[in-house]
Amino acid sequence: MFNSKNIFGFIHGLHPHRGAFDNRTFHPVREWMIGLAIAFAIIIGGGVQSALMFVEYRSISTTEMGSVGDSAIKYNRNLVELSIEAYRTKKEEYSKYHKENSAAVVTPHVETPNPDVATSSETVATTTPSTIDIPPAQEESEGEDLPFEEAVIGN
Amino acid sequence: MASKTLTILIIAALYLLASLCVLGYVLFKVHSEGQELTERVTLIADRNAKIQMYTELSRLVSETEGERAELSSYVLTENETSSFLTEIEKIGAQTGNELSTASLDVVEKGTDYDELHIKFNVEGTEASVKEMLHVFETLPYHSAVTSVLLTKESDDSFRGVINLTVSILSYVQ
Repeated sequence: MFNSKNIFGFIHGLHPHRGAFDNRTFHPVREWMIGLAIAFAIIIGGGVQSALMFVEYRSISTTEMGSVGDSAIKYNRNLVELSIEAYRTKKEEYSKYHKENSAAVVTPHVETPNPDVATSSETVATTTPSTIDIPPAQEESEGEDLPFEEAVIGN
Repeated sequence: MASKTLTILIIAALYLLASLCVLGYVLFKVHSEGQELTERVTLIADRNAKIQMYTELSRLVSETEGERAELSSYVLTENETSSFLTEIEKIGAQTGNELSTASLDVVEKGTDYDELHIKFNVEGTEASVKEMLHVFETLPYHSAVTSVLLTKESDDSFRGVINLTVSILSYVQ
């Protein structure tokens, strides 16, 4: 007859020194769990890696990455306006002086005006700077009637 | 271990190995494609930036055409030099001075602009010389009276040397 002590002794004799995790015997549930764990690990690892790549490449933009470096031309508009203003002031002062001085010199010739000559001399002076080579007496009477920029720059 | 079990185990292991290889290859491929995408996007972005810069530059050029033309009118060119000298000597005469050009010297600055150093001999009264210098300082050009050396000849007469520096557009463009 087997009593409870004998039964445990019999079982222990069949499986000596084998615990619950016996490596020498297949346990379908355990092996399935191991397989599923590996599969889940692969899936989760792949998912994490995919998520990281998605985050990395999601922010790629054609508008934010472009740069032209130092090749961009900087235009200091304020400085240009200040410069122009300064030169305009100088030009006005110079023109003012020039007109005052011209008026003083031209006054004697007002008594005998000759519109035809005056018109032709102005035309010559505004188109070419050759009026400079005109003899002094003639140059004085012709050049004085011209604005500064036409008399000096006109080329 | 039964042979069938061993076969299934080997097949499962091979299947796992193949799956890992495929997964690794896919990840590597995605990563390399991503790198290539990044490079291409960078190129496109640079090109877009250059196009934008060109557009802005074109707009700036058209917008500032008047300003640049006005500014350039305040700088002498080679062709205007003789006219400028004539004008200066005329100013001397108008202010009652005897003014003559003593020397001309073009100093190359290595930029778009050179400097024309003009040395004038002047003779006149103190007031007339001062007036002439004042007019020189109002010349509407990028110029400056760099030095004045006057010697008193008599009570009303001064003789001296005036150095005027004018920027001119470079002779070698």
